[in-house]
Amino acid sequence: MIKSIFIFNKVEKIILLLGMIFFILLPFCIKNIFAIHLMITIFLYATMGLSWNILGSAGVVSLGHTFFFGTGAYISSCLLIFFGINPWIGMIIAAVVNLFIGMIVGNLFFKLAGHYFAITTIALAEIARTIVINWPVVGGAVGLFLPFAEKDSLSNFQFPSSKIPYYFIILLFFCICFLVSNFIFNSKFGYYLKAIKASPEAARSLGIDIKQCKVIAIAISAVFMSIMGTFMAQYVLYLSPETFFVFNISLYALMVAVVGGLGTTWGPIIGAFILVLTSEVFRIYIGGTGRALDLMVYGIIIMLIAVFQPTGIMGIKIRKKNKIKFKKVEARR
Amino acid sequence: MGLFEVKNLCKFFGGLKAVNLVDFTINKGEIVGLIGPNGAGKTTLFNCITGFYRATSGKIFFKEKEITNLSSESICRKGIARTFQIPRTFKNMNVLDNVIIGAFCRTNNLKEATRKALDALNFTGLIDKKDYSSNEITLADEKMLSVARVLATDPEMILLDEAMSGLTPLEAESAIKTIGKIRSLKISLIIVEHVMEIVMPISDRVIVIRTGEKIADGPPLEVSRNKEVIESYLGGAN
Repeated sequence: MIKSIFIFNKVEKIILLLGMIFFILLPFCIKNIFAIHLMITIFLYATMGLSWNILGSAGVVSLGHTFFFGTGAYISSCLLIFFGINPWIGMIIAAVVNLFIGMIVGNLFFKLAGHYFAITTIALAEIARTIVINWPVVGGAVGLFLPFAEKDSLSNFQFPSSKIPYYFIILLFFCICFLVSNFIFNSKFGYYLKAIKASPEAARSLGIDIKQCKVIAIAISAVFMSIMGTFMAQYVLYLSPETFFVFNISLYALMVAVVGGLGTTWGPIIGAFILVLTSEVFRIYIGGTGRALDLMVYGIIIMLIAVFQPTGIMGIKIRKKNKIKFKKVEARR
Repeated sequence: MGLFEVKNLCKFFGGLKAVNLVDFTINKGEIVGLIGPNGAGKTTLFNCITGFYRATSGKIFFKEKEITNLSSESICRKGIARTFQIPRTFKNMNVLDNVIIGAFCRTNNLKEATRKALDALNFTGLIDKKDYSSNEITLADEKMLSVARVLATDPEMILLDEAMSGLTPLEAESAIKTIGKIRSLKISLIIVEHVMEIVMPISDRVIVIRTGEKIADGPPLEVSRNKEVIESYLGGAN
């Protein structure tokens, strides 16, 4: 079990090792706060992409992942604000609640096929947003401030003086989710998800319980997303429906996974780097008013990916590998 | 009682009687050809047996347990596997992974599944192509792949839906050879074909259905002399 979490080939192992060393040393070399913030954003989106990816690898398109993100943030933060429960414990409670919400949502919604499921998930997120906006107890449209801590403390999940601890926490979360999704994609469950995507009928005929697989996938996905919600809440220390229940979050989670390569372990991190960096570059050079431009560039990226590289950036690598193998087999004959 | 039994099975689509009061038995290790003209209800019968359709009435037994209207995934786990008329290959993975999915039916371990998948590929003669992307293989290979995939699920009975149609005579010949080899595994087979020449030599018994009803059931030679069968294939001499 533990061994199979670390199924990587040699190249991947080297990249992983170098990457880990690089990202652990990075905050000690760069003193620029903005750069650290950027790295935090990248890993946040990468983890959201990993979450979306698990569901996406089964061919399910969710456009409402912000629902799990928001509920995660609101549950843990409200527990902290109203009951003084430690955010770490709140995070676990929120994750467990989201696990069950994911299962319920899956059981109810997977009767719907394809696009109808996608539309329903949008509705789900919008309903949650409307409820939160009109619910004064959780701050309504104005939102809530989380209680500020005086000084840095890991146990309170708050670091007013520095962003670096946040960086390491998100890096840790990312690594955990990365290993979990690598484990999934190299296990029976991951194979089954891919089979469901390719041909549901054939999958059923080979003994795959489609609904059960999808429900488990959405539950795992919801847990990842919920943890990211709690992290984001602790990072910005301000809870509002406009940050946590926005369509953009769902969209980011989707795009990161799709651009990087659906159903691959490495796709989301690559996708996150590309998307976050392009958007930040545009913001830096064109300024606040240039914000719409990065969205336009996203649009172009999505179109290019859809037309030329439907399997995402990772698809290029996979295609190459297949070609080499193909040649080898041909040569042997 | 045989390994597998269908009793008075009916499937109606509104007023259309696609399968009407069909009953037959399959014994262990037997190869049975299921033939009939186009639209006779062969594939509908398969879909009812494997849980893709709910039967309107009637009962299906496997190893003396009723399996009528179970979900197709649980029927597969009980030991009845099927292939499709269109191969329905998992196009997003290579040949080996396709078969591994089948092997995962009986195990949770990737290594064991891979070993089983390789066995199945060896058996069907696809071992040389295991690393090919499943987009790149021919229709004949795709059909064999679906047989390999099904074999990897360790079935006791396999339902082949036109595993040989659309193949060149040469390809069909090697396919028939492979299917003949399945006999040595003591796996029962039901083969749907509408080409008589393919079914007759390899079948122990042939069942003929026409417009949803069984019209003949017996050894190939006997069936091919049956008046009703000849009529349904060549048209009646009113």
